[in-house]
Amino acid sequence: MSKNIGMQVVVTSVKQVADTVKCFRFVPVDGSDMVLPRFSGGSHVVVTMKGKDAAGNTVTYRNPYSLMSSPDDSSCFEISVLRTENSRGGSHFMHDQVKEGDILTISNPVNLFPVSAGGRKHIFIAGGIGITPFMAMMDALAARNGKFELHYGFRSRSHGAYWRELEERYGHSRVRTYCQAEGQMIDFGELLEHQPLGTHLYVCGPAPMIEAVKKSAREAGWPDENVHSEEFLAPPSGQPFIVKLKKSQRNIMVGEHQSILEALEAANVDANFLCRGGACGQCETAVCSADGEIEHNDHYLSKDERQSGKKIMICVSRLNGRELVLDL
Amino acid sequence: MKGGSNHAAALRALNAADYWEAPTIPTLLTRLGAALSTAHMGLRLYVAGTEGFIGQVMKVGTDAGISFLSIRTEHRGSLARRVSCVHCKGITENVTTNPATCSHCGLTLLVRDHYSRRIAAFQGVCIDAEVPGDVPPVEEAFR
Amino acid sequence: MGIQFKDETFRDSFTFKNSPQTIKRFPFPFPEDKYMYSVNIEPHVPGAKGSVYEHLFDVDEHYVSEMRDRALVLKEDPLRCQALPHMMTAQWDLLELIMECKSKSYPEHFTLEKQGDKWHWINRPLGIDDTFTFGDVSTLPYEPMEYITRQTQGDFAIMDQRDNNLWMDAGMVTTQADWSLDFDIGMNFMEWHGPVPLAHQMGVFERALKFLLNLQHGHPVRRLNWTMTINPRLDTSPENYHKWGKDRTEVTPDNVGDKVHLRVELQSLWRLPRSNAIVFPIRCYLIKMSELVTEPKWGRRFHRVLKDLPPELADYKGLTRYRDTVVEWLSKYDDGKPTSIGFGLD
Repeated sequence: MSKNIGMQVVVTSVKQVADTVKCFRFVPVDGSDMVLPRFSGGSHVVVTMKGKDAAGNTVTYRNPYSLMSSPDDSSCFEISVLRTENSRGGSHFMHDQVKEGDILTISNPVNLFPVSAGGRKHIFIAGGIGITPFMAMMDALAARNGKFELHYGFRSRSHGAYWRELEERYGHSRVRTYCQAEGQMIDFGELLEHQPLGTHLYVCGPAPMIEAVKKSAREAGWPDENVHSEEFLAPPSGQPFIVKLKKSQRNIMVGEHQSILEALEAANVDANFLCRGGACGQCETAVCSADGEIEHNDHYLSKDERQSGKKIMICVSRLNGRELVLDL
Repeated sequence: MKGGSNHAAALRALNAADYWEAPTIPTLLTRLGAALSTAHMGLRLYVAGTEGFIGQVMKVGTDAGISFLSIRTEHRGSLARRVSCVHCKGITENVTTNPATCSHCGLTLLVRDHYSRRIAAFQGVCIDAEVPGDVPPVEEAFR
Repeated sequence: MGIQFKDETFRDSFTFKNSPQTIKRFPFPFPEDKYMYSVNIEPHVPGAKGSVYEHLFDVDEHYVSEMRDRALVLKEDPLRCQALPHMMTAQWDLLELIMECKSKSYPEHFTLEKQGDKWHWINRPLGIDDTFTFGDVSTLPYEPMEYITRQTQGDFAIMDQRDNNLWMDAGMVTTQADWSLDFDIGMNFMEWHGPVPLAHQMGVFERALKFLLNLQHGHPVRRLNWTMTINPRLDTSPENYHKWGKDRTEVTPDNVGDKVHLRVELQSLWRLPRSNAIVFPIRCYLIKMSELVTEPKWGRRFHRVLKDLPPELADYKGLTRYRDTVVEWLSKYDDGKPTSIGFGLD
């Protein structure tokens, strides 16, 4: 029941919303009786893409993208995709191949980055494409008169998506933008001062930004319980290795630019997953033995669990070595 | 608090941003609630005292928006419990025995190891509901 | 057509009983001749026609009388229904879920018409016909959770998800097996289950919590739990324990068949869409021992389960005082023949 492959949707609009960002709108396929579910702000869906690699072989990409449309609008879903320079294929596929009328498969929405319902005030800090989950969160908060402010940094006015619309919709008292090209920077320390008790802080953006915000919050005496972040990791590349499945007695090669999960799926092995970004814990798999060193790249396993060498998150972690035996 | 009055001079000399001696727990809780209502993030709450005292301070803290997970506590002194009668909802303070008598409705209560942060009390359930009067010997359980 | 609703009581005169068709569909909870606490979770998908699983929110012949009993409980003790302030979105989610499911499952009894956020709800068995604005509390006679659960069998707990835990921050609890919403509201998953014996050492709750944190919208799950109740009393709350506790001393070899009931909870768990909360409906089914033994497999099996139940579980479930009397009574219906594994009838 944890297989989360979900529903078919049709792309009804593709819009270039910033230099390297496109917005995609999905609706249910015509004639199906499917209704898009409502969702909570901060949810993402996993989009399945069938593309071709450089050698012309069919490859399946599955990437998580935050839902940015209004959670109260069940007529469509919207996501935004940044065209990344070191794309493993997914973001280039979305940018270069997907056009209006195409049919894609998306998962049910899953929320690993929810607004803390009891929070007195919510401060959102976005860097670049990290703006997307906050758009749905702010929409939901505004609908129930929740107190929030957004601090949004981007490289240049043409690189930043949606900043103009957000300023117009919520006003300058709630939305502050910071344009790096114009020398504007978010002063985290100043931002964290004088916030009322019960304020929650959310950050989404590049890893160094998340680390900087967390560090500032810690220095300002904020408890970890009030600081939330989301960062989807792309599975890192590495040397190829063999995965041996103990129960089904199979050997599967994991390629240089493949995750274990992707290699299993390519070999038609059904594996559990939800976020594919090392955050949710759904793909936790028992390790029988490892000839080599496990490279844990997830945000999920504890230090002790990593050291035990008995568990691996197969969506982002891999082996630096020859062979990994999994209890599958 | 009275018991700590011999430390008052030493504590005052530490020059805390706010130092206040309360005559009773309720007056202390009221004063704390007022201080927290205008406090900012970065303020952290540390509590030391009996279980019942810690529970009540934590409740003031969480009512002010502080996550209880971020409150640091240290138990000192008696293990006497605050007990909430599940039947009449009355709170009995300083319960040291099990069973104990509800100070509101008079039922004899079994004090369970089931604690509610929201009420800041352990649960008390009538011990002789099935056979009235069939009560085990009273033990000094929480000192 | 539709369901014939009975007029019966769950207190004082205790006129509750099951019709023969309702006995047949009783969710007997033991797949084998012994019982051990386990999570035993399966997908909550529509099941066999006529079974309690046919519809995701089952309505049966006791509906109208159970709702009347709930209203009586709430009149005596309004604290049985509570919601912390941040749960309002989840309350609306629950109202929508139940209205959608019931109007689809039982169109002859329930109708939901929507025009944007103007909703029209008709509940024929209870004689309710209301028009309200979805999202606007002032257009309903109660808050949304109370409104819809005064019209739905079973208890309800709604859990908020935060800090990698589930917090029971709202509920409607009038037919509970001995737990207090007023005391437990605001607790997390582990604290709430604190009093359950044996299961903690087995790591049952840690695994269950991990599973539930990733529960997906559109994929509800279910499990069965059980206990026993003397007299067909729905409200076996700790609040009123001093009033009903003596029932447990009144079991005699002559009245077991009518007085002693197996009480099964069909518990389901659903991710709610807008709030990301999880709702936990706990639907209670009662069956008299005399009704249970009309199915030979159930008589044999329940005798064996009850006889071999570990004493700490019997204590936790409050059975100790009358267990031997019931086992003795049930032994007449156990000829020692083998029973088949699973829920199918022999």
